[in-house]
Amino acid sequence: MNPTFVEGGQRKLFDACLACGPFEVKRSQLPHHDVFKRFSAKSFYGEIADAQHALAQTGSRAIVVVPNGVLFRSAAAERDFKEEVVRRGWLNAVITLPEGLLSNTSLRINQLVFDKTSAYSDVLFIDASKFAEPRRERRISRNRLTNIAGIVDLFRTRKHSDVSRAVLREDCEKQEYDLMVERYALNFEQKETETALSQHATVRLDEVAEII
Amino acid sequence: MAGVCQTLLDCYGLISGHPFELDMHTFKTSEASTHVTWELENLRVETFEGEKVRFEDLISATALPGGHCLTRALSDIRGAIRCPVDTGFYSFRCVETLRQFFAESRDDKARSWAKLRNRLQVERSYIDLGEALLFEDDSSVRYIPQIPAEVAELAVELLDLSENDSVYCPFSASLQFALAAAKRPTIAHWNLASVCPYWVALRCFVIRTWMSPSPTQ
Repeated sequence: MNPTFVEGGQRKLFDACLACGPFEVKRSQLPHHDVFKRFSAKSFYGEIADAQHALAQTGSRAIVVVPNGVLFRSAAAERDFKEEVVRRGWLNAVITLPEGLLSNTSLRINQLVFDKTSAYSDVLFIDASKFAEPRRERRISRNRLTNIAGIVDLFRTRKHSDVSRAVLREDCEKQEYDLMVERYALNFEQKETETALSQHATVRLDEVAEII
Repeated sequence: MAGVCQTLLDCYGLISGHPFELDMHTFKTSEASTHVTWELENLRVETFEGEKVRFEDLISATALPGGHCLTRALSDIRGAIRCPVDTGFYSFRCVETLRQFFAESRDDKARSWAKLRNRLQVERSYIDLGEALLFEDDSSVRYIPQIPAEVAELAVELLDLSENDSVYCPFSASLQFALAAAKRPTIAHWNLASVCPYWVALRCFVIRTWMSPSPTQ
């Protein structure tokens, strides 16, 4: 975890950072007193340390790819990290990508978009989990991300839609900084279910069955 | 044809630090005007300082006696870069290939190891590191993702990079990000060395074996 890019004993700051570290690596040996002041929240999980390292080396924008676990885990250090980036307005957007994008695993990945120069009062959630098409590549089946232009448009305009919603920081706090996109943006399955239900008459369960 | 092109790519990969893998669909011949799709000229990824080697010299060395060992070593370095969890395996094989280059006969094991260490100016313990890596059980790393190109493209679009922005792409899984950023007028820094340093040493071994004058010459 020693930074490679150091200038005059200080972290070198880049204009932007694009990072994807190994998933679910245990970082049991984080320095207690990091001289570069990168790890304010000392999480056991490497993804948090990797995100903190990426943020520490950029002066403004960063995108970090993380698996779902980072979004919903509520251990103290992870919650602290998420609270810090939301409270400071650094977390610009959370974009959930389709499953099956990575070869040999169906792990769902997300892009956390940070901007340290803008204090956002809200966090944009985009559910891009259905923007996928199957792709076969060298005997490996996986999905390919589609509608990149649409995602970029949603990100730039920050408009509310079926798959995107800008949520106030206070609402993230109410959700205990659980950043799973399903908590904020109505996803496709929910929408399909609601559409299907709206086409049929429904009754309460206790009207047709005895609940014991 | 594919083998020759893969070796060319491996040579370029050793210089630039990228595990290029050839997937040839078409190639141009004097009779037919099909074409090969390359994107190598767009790469501006900054990698490692240190021992410099010229692309042309590497290509020439593959044609010299013992060049088949260089070709195998380059192939193993590609594997070591591409797949960090298997760096130990590829490193072990690469060092063995280097030893065979120095061997004069099959029974020349001890002497060839000594010649290798002398030529590379390294201690035995450092050579053994490759073997140690091979048997290292780093079970804490569950998965090193290979980011698809379109996901990297999306990230680069979202960042809205402007000319001469410096972009930092740490960790081995960020190679695709560095490649995507390098297609823009940006300066991408890909920091692989901190993740799997041994292949960097292999790179030095190969350069010293084939590119540097022998200490006895």
